[in-house]
Amino acid sequence: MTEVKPALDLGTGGSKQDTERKKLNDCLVAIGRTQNETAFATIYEHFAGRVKSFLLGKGMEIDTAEELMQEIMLVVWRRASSYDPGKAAASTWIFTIARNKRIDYLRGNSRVEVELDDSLLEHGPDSHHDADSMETLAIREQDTRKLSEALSKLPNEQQQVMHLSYFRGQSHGDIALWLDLPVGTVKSRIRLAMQSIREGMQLPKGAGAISRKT
Amino acid sequence: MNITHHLSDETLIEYASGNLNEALEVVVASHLTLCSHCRQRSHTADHVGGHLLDATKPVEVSHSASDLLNRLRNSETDDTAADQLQSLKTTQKPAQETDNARFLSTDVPRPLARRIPADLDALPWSTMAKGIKHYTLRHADGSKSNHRTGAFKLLKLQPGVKLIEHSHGDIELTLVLKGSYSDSTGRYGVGDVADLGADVTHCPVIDSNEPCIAVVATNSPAQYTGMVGRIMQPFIGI
Repeated sequence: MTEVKPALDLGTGGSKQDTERKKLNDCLVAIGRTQNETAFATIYEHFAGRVKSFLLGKGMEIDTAEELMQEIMLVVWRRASSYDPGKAAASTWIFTIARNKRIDYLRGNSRVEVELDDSLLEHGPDSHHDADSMETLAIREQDTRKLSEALSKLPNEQQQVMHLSYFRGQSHGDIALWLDLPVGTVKSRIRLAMQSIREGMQLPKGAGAISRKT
Repeated sequence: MNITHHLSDETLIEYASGNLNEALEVVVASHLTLCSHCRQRSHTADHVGGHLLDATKPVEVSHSASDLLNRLRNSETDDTAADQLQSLKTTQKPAQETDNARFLSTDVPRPLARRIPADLDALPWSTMAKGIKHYTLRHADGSKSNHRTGAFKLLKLQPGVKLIEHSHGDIELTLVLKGSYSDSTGRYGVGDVADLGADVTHCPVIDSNEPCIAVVATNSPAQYTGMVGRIMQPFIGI
């Protein structure tokens, strides 16, 4: 069995991380507004090696990962004007681009997503936002901080499973094999982690209604 | 719409990580269209991905930001270089997706509507057994699902039909589009998704007055060498 150590530093969710996050968000905005190359260098410096690590972790060959990382960073450069710091941290925006580009590359077609002009789109009974703000990745700065804190407070075994889910392997089955754990244990750690994160962010509870037989 | 059966956290995270196959993505995105609660949870899963990206140790890269921008500038003045830069497979919207959304069926969420040629009632259904019809869905590239890629199909079940007791593969999603059914895990109406793992055995009964139509997708069983025996018994063992 391979020993899997989480290559992860979640910090403590403190104000230093807030400052760092804000700096990166500002850089992305500056790229969008003025094609600021110094700002791009800062973003690249922070994210290029992380994006490549994501691609490698998902099983991509090293040369392909380098090429695709560059393509992803070019998308960041070109599309930065559509980035809104009021809706997501730079890291979330770049993560979704990297994830989607990887799917494009592997499958030759795009990730299937909700279409926001779908006439069947349901807006929710407690929606007091306008349709536009509801349908974005909207997250307030204080929620970002809470999310960061909640993640840093997770027990190690949950952090490990979350990191592996997103950044290694291609299924929870893979993770179970690596950690030599039943798939059910991997899944329950994920559920516990997401529950703590939602509680930390004061969001509504999870699936709830699914009565699982164990 | 009164949705009581939602996607599990595990499935939302697989979706956020880009781990699901196209068929499962269609079912997830269709449920997310109908369920703002899960859409919110899905957004949270994306934010978690961003935070984890931040916390991941970077690996060494072979070019700098200025290399990349120089390469871009050169490529803008030199089409050949531009071609080289684009040499990796780039996204091509499947032919279906370039169709104007106006021509798509509006009785199912758009991610699914893009993969069917007509409204549900007008589809060329094939009969599998008494009271049970199916329609095999195609992926965006036109391919059909098979035993290696996992199941991807619509089922149309007459009222009163009772399915034999069966268990599931590793990931199997069933989203109800019309009618309803019940089993030991509850009652499933329009918009409800059954996100049942390998630990669940059930025998659904169609309890609506009209036929129940559902879309079913499973993951690729080939990925799960240890579980092959149990995998190939998805919803009604297709």
